[in-house]
Amino acid sequence: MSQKPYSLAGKRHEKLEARQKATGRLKYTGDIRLPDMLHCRILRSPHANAIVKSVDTTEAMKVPGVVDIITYDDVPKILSMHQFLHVPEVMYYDSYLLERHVRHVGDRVAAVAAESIEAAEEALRKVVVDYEVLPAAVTMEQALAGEAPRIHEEARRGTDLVEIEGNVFEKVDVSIGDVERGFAEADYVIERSYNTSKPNPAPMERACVVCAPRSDGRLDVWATAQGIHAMRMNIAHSLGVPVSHLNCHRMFLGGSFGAHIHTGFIENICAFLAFRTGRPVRGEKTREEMFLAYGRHPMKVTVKAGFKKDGTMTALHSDTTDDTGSYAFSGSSKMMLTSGFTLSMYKCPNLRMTGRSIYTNTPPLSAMRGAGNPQASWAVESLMDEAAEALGIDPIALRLRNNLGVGDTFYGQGPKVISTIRSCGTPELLEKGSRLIGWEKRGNGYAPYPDRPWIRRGIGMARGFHTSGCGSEKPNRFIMDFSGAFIKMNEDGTAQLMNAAADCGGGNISTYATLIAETIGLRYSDVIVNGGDTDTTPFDGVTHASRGLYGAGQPVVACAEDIRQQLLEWASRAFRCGPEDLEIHQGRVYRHFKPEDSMTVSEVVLLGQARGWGNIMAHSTVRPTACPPHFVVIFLEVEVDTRTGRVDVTRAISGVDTGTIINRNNVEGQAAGGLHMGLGFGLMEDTLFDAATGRPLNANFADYKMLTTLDMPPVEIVFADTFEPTGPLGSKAIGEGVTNPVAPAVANAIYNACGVRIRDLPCTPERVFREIKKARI
Amino acid sequence: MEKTIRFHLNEKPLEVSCPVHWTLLELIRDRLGLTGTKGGCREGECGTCTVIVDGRNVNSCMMLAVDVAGRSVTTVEGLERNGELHPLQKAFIAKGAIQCGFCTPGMLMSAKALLDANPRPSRSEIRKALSGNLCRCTGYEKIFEAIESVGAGEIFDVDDGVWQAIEQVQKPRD
Repeated sequence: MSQKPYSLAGKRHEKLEARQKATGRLKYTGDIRLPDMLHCRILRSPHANAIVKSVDTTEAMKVPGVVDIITYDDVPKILSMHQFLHVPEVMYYDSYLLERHVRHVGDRVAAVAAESIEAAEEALRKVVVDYEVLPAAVTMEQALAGEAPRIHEEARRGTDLVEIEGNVFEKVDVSIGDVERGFAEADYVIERSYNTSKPNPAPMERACVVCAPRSDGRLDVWATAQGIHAMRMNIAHSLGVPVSHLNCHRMFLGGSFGAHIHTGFIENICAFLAFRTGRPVRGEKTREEMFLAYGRHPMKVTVKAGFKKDGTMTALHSDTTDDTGSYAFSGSSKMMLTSGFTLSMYKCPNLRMTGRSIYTNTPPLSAMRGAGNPQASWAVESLMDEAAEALGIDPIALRLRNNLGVGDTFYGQGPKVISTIRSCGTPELLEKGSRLIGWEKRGNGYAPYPDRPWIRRGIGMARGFHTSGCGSEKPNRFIMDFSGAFIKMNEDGTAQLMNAAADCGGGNISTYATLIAETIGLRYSDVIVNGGDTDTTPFDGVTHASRGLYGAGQPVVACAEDIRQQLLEWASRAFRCGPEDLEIHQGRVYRHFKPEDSMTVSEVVLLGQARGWGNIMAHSTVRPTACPPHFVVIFLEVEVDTRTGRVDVTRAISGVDTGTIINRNNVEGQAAGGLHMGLGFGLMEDTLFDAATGRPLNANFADYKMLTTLDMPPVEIVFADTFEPTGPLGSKAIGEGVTNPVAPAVANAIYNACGVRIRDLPCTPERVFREIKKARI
Repeated sequence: MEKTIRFHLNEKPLEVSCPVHWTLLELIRDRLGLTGTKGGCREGECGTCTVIVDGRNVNSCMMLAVDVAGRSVTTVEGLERNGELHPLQKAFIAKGAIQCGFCTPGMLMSAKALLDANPRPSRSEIRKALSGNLCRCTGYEKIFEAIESVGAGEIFDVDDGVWQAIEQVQKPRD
């Protein structure tokens, strides 16, 4: 598949909101100011595990400007969950708006609503709390120890009360095929453990919410949410109000990367305070609070793989221990996904996944770009290089030998989400990428600078993927994945889309305009996408799992096809011909072979209006029947300073199989940005907590390091020429795949440069240096 | 305690009073309502609050508002001229340097301060000048390209949402 018959898809369209962003006119949630608005601040626990024995708000209430203070005694006693993307029966209900048992440093004790932030903060200082401090389990090892403190005394999974053994709240053991036989058939068996860190999504925008009571008794909510319908479900449930009492507005997000797939307390608390006070309430997290609220789950992944001498994989067993922090925002889904992704990395007949999810006394975690896949990729893609060396096979050849490609069964979002792969660009990308980086010429421990022999250069690679959404051929009982859309035609020939999918910065809202214009035959500028709110849009899944274009785009295309047929039918009445004699191009309807017979789309709509034909409008709801993997291949060149352990990435190639490109600027930006985040995971990003007290050690941008403009290597991007038959105009996703295999490519390049294998993330200078020193002795 | 100060904001003289402990960011956003300037961390580390004060890019969250008395301050709202986008704004849009857009105002101000002092910066000079501005979306690549294109005198025009370079004066350096 090469030439695609599109006139708009593949160009570099200006994003619909780009001018507003470039001029500072776009209103993000934090820019909203309403008359009479109160400010909410939350009193947070200084202890990692404690019982709140009493809270005295007497002095705090006297602070001028303080309007309301709430504690555990005031909030609804409804055990709540915080995500609405998995089916509710697999989700964990384990928290209240405010707690009596606080479970991490930064957990919620009380909330203040005041006329100003200063007054709210002054009140926080005057609230007197009596804590009974309990021993804390800050690390995985502490939480799993026999005498570990119990972090949760009550939790529900769906409607069932959960037996929490120690702090393990869920376990899994799934087999496909016969792993024991697979290992028995292997000529070589390798087993290694790999640990991942706890990076923060760290969007530049801080989480913010504004809740305003309406004159009809309902509540308007503007918030940094990746899904307005999911947020409406979550807030309504935790407050015990009907969902229709809330109208949640879609906002452009200042990044999110998984931070806002859940509704993380501040939204619900401000909604509750707005109902109580009858006034608008605004809450905005500080950067420290951002660090105490989000993050990628740290995991210990042990992988055992069996290979034939020729590299054919015969069995794979992964065992995962997953730390969710103090609340199970994602249930056990991240553990299920990491385990599941280890199994779907390569073609192997005998698979087994075992794992457990645990609570610790650290901030609750949920998703961060890749949802379990970066952890799986770190383990499997490191292991593949280790196995390749032992087998004496080139790492690329070993990957190709076991490549999962077209026609193979794909376990997407865990083993219950099953579909068939219909497009795969991996071989093409491996070929292009290896040629570009000079794979054949790579050495071992090459010292490129005669005057600095301590600098060693290495080349490493890894391949991976992420899903495009969560669709499966049959509906599954694990994760919800469907979208809806309405489109109507206006009298001036513009098409207007009403849908709810959030745009986290990836540009998916603008791709809907391209899909609509391309499908109907309009100009790009003829499409308007409404801001949208839950009152006026159908339910849509959260923008997660890289589903913004692939999933939410499918009903958009269905609507556009419907609209096109309606326009052709009306125009055929005007021209007294069949609709098959007509085509629409750039907003004008033409008659085949009689181009002088033409009318604008606007004229068609106006004609129908004058004749009383009604509205041209369409609606659609689509459950995708696949979650096609968008494959990514990463090649990196690094230079390791063997005196200090410092690693500089000097070249980076991101090879991307995204199907049809809808907006070239968007996909290139995602590829480079995903690489940035992957390099951060590989080299430096980690949130640290004191193991004794649970206090954060680097909850700010001074101490939490991410790559700056000085650290980022030049990025070369190559595309696979693929077409995904199930995707909108042949497209599939890009957002997460571009991050997932980056960290193991870093480790594999470090190994090639200086012969040390790093199995614990991140590959900091300290860690690399320690391994170099160990190797010398 | 409030204090009244006079300064130039986006080339217009202004007299305003604000609490003496307020930062310039608080004055710009909360009193003057110019919300184009963002506050990503409010502790001087992310650069989303960057404005230009007397030709230099500064973190407005790290400067006291009263310290701009008698100075000239430019925010992102001051980049457009008579409804015409600044060349940097056009280049950022054309090159796809704007993703979530939250770092964009700060990036634009650091880029403007750089180009005003050094109209044709090299890639390494651009990297250095932007090193105080974090971006979580783009990997910086397209931001570098956009600034280089302005340095090279590229002029863009737009047709149905697609921007093309219609004129290039010089080749980018490096």
